[in-house]
Amino acid sequence: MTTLESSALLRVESVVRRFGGLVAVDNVSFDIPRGQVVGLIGPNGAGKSTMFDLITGVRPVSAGEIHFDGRHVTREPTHTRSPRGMSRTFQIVRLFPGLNVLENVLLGLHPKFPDGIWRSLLAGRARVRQEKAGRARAMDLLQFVGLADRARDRIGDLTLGQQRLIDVARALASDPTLLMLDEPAAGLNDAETDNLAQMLSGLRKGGLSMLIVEHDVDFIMNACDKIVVMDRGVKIADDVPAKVRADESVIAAYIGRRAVHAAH
Amino acid sequence: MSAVIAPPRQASIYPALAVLVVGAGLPYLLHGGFQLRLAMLVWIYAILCMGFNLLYGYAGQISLGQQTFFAIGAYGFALLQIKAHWPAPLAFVASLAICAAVALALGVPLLRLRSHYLAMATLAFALIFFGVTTRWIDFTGGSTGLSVPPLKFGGARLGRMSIYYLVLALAGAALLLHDFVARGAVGRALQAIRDDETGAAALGVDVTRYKLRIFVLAAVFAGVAGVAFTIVSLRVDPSMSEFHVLVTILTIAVVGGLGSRFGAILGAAVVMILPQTLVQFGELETLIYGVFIVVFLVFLPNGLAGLLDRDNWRGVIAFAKARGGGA
Repeated sequence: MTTLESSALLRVESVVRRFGGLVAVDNVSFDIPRGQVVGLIGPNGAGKSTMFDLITGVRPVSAGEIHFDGRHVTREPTHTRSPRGMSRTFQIVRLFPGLNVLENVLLGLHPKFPDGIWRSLLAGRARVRQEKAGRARAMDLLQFVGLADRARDRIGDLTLGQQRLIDVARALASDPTLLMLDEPAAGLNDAETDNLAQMLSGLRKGGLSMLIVEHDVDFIMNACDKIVVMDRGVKIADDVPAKVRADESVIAAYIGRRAVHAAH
Repeated sequence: MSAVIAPPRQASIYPALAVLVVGAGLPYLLHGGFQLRLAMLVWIYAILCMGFNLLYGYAGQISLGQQTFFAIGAYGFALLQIKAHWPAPLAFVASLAICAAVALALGVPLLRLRSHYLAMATLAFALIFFGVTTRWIDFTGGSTGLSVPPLKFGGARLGRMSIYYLVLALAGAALLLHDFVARGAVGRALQAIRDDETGAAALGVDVTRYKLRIFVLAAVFAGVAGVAFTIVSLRVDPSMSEFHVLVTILTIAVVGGLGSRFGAILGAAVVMILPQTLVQFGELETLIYGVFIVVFLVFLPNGLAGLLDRDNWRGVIAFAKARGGGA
């Protein structure tokens, strides 16, 4: 038990988040072991996206602790968590429409560039080299997601599926140790979903730890080593996919009690 | 990965250098003191608007007090020479430091907030400053203002041409810094903040700090413009911080194109020069000018700089190619 805990990349401990009287996340604990892919599922309003926001620091926790890579990050702001190796995509794609595709991916490399105007100026030729290396890396990532030919295009000219791939490429740019994907398959057609699943399985083989929130059950069962299930803010299951799939309380929460009765 | 596609290069510095070469040659194409003065005014407003462009066009933070920093730079430069008898170069540096300090004091509490708070607070600050400069007559000279001693070098007063090149040097420094920010990682971070603060923070951009940095830089740009204006006009008065200066800044931004590399210079050239050529229409001047601005808003939403952007011509290019291919 202790060895497993110490090797966990992310540890969420008794985390609570209240919005006024509503408890969106109620005393939830789980961890992501290094190199594993963890799915976070649950019906609408279960608190999955809130959990994501708490882990990345977009919203503060009301109580509880978050440890990432052996460090207590509960009180850290968002912008210092991501340079530690935590990288995320958003449920509603949040690319920057005023920048082209390549520039969006380059922003994923932001922590690698000198911070601020003075430091950029003082970096001199090193900055030129960094910019060049950054552009090459961004291009490699675009090639990885199959969109290298769209590098100069505006975000608005891409389909939703392509935008999601750009979002993933941008999240990968910073060489994260934990990739967090918030409903990556939402709004994608079957071909695009297969394409995404293949890409994620490639990253999984490469040893990248991931946390995936997803509604598509088949997608998540195949993609994950273990699955955490939430319902109305509470964790109701935390196990390998096969066991979660057979869990009565999960089926009840996820499919609805009537459906369970109908199946019996 | 054998067939690696080369990434698009970073935008180059050469267009900015070309603008400066044109600026350096300009005095030889112009006739008389009036035209040279007008050219200097174009550069001064270009400096002022480049700061505004970084702040609003790139970072999306609207300040309605840039004209006040313009006046603070000018008053600082004037008063430090007149009252404290500081040499001009020292007064110049100190007045920029004052602009930066005031911006920092305003920005620290304000820039943690989103949306319109900055606009409201800078507007209130502008009104207070204007009130003080008009009424504190002993110190600021009231609405008549102060006259500033002309710049001297080795005991001799600087000539018209020297002053032009001094203004051009200031504009050149501003242009190169503006371009450096616009082309690089800092400009990307600013645009990310403009488009989506939460998204930018998730990628490691320290949103509050970047907003503060650029607010201070824009104030310093305005201060440089204010000093340059004082060097040319040899006087400061409260009208520098009046509302019409702000309107001019906004007009230049719209005509030139917000969030573009050369919009501030193109806009300043048109907005400064056009009214002079419209004087011949007498009473119709304002009307023609107004119609002109409306036409700009309707047909060139990205301003003059939009005409330089290849992206905006894609439709035309595709159409031409289709016609060419069909023939």
